[in-house]
Order: sequence, then structure tokens, then C-alpha cells
Amino acid sequence: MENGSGVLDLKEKKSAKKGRVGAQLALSVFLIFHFAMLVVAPKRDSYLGELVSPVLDPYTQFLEILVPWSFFAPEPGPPPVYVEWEILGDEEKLLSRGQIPEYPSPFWNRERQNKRIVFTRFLMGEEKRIDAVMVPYLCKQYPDAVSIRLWRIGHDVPSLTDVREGRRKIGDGEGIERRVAAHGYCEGKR
Amino acid sequence: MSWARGGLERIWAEWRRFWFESNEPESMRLFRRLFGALMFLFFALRTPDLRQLYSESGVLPVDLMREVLDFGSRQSIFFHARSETAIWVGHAALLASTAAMALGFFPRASALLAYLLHVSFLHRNMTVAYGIDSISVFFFLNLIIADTRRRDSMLGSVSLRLCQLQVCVIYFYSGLEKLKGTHWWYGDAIWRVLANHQLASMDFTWVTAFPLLVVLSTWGTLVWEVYFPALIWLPRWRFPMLLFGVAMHLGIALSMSIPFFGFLMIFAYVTFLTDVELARFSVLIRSFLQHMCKK
Repeated sequence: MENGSGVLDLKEKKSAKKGRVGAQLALSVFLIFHFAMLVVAPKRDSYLGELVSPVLDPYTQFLEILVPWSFFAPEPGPPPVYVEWEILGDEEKLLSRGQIPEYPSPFWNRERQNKRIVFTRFLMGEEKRIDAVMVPYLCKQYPDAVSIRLWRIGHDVPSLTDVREGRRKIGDGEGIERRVAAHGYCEGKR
Repeated sequence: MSWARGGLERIWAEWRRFWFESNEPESMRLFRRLFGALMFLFFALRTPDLRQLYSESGVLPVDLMREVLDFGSRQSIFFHARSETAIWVGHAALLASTAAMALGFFPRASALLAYLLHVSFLHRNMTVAYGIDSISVFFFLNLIIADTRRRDSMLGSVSLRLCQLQVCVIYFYSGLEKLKGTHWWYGDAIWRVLANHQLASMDFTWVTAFPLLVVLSTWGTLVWEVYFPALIWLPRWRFPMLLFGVAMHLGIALSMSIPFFGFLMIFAYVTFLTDVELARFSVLIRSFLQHMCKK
């Protein structure tokens, strides 16, 4: 009996080991695929990225793992950007004025300001965005508004040498580029 | 043929050791707790903006967002459940799941729930997402399979390795991308960040008195990021690399008012410590605290 049970144990152990190796092999195949996607995804526009895009795109987009990983790169972040607006009522009467993000930050909770900075960078990314997003939103916020005028503002970052030699100061307001972004009408008020 | 077979067996043994036999339950448990607590705080702080940023009455209704962004295969619970109540329930569940991760309460199920909800919020309004939002997705995903109960857990080991490799991938690409930037080569990239009044947490004019420091920290960051994915695996280099990383991320957190991003990366370094090193480290901290208390 002792002998028989020993043989059974050995068989069980062997089959458990086989099962484990099988699981490891299956997992290895998946890991190679997953890791390849992680490595290729940041370079989605490369030749390899294009080649595997039928698989890469749905997989990485669905899991939300399609990130370019370019923190402060290739240049260390865009300069300060703002979107300014004027809310106009009947006969272009100025109702209110504002900007996003506000400066200096009105929030003790800095995360609120960070989100507004990121949002503003998104708006500045394409011409149509400021008009498409901000006009309907501001019209909702100001029921008396008839139209909204918007500007895109870009600040310059002074060089280290200029600040060191006293020619400029940080946030001195020099080198500001202010361009009209849109003048849109609230729905049904044109 | 036997040499080829022997070679393959060695490769397979190394592969298995790396992926399936390297679980460090204590390190992963600590990482999960720290990560859960950090993300709980991060999500809690966006509560006042929930309506404005994620609801239909906010800045970006779903239909408008589809007009201005290419969505591909991205999905979100909030594309279907658009009411404000759904947003608030989702937010409460996200807070509860990250708190559960921090407390070790159903950690894997909590990580799965947190992952689904986080991605749903992320896709609901991608225009307000930045570094920490993207990086945390990977860690939520990896922590779903983390097994901190057994050292010999295969999935636990895979989870640990994926977390470590994720950190390497992030630095590798960030480093290589920086090599394309003129300011990183010129040596004033750090200054360009500190002099950006929208990002900087204080007036850094005093830094101009130390231009060499700016250049060295710029190049140091560049070299460190590029070499991190290779050197972190060499025992002699591991601690110096991690210490530099802690200093760099603390610097970013303090100078740029983005503490969550910095702390997330620092917490991820815990996955590079073995359980034995972690135990030694906690003894060291305890004796230091006792020493301070006696004083």
C-alpha cells in the first residue's frame, strides 16, 4: 500500500507540475504580447506601430494604456497659456469678463488649478476647440449672454541669462501674444 | 543539439525566475497601501469640480467631446449613464475602492473596481487628465492580479514585474524624448520649468545665482532617465538610482505644485525593494524615530 500511495503522489505531483508549466507557458505568451504593446504604444506613429495598429489600437485604447510618456519632453512644457473671454449681452453690452486658468490660482487645492491648466492647453491645441467648447459652456453659465468673444493668450518664458542680468523678470508680462480666437453667438440668439 | 537544449532550458529557467518566482508580498502590500491612499486623496480633491468637469451640464457634454476628440475604442460607464447622480455614485465608489485598497480590504476586487471607474472618468473627460491620471491606470491594472498572501504566487510575481517594468518604460521614453529637445541639450530645461509662472510654486529668481546648478540638474535628469531602465537591475546601482529619483521627484513636487505625480513615482520605487530590504529599512526608520523621541 505504501508503495502504491507513493506512486500516486508522484503522479499527482508530476501532473501538477505539468499544469503549472502549462500555465506559465500560456502566461508567457500573453506577457510577451502585453509587454510588446506597452513598448510599441508610446511610438504608435512609428513604422512598427503602424504595422501592428489593428491589434495595438483597440487593445491599448480599451485598457487606456496608450500613453506617449513624454513628460517635459521634447521641450520642458509649453509656456503659460490662457483663454480670455468677454460675455456680451444685447447691443454688445459687456456683461462679464474672465479667463481660464485664473492667475494667481484662486484655489488652496492646487489640483483644481492643475486641471484648468491642462484643460486650457487642450483648448489651445486646435483652432476650433476654443469656439466649440467655450461658447456653449459660457452661454449656459450666463443666461443673459448673446455672444461670447474669446482670445488665446500665450506668455513667453524669460531666459535664465535675461533674468540673471536683470533685463527681465519671471512673469513680467513681456512677450505676450494675444490673438482673437472666436466670436460666437449663443444658440438661438443671433 | 544538447547545447541548444541546455541553452533553451537555461533561458526558460531565467525567464521563469524573473516573471513567476519573484513575488515580494510585503513590498507589494506596502505599495498597494501607499498607492491606494494617494489616489484616494487625489480623487477626493476633485470633488468640488465633479459637476463642472464630468457632468452633462459641465464644460464638456459627451456629444460635444466626441466632436472635438477622436475616441477610437475608448469606453466609459459615463457614456451610457450620463446623469449627475451616476457621476456622484461613480465618484463615491471610486473613493471607496481606493480607500479599500489602502486598508487592504478585498484589495484585488477593489483594484479592479478602481481601475474601471478611473478609466471611465478619464475617458469621460480626457481634456483634464495629466501625468498621474495616465500612470495610475497602469498600476491599478497591475494591482488587480497582485497576490500579497503567498510568496510563491505566480500572478503576484507577474504583477510586481509589470509594475517595475512600467516604471522603466516611462523613464526610457521620457529620457529619449528629452534628447530631441534643444533646451535639454542646452542645459536650461529645468530653468524653463521654474520660470514658468503658471506652473512654478514660488518665485525662483534666486536660482539665477546658480546657473551651473541649473545645467547640472538638467543634464543629470537627462542621463538618469535614459540609463534608469538598465542600471536599476544592477544591484550596485539600484539604490543610487532610486535615491536620485526620490530627490528629483521631491524637487518636482515642491517646485511645480504637482505633488501627486511625484509621490506616485516615489511610491512605485517600493516595488524595487525586496521584502528583506523593506524590513531592514523599517527597522532603520523605527530606531531613528526612537532615537529622535529620546532626544
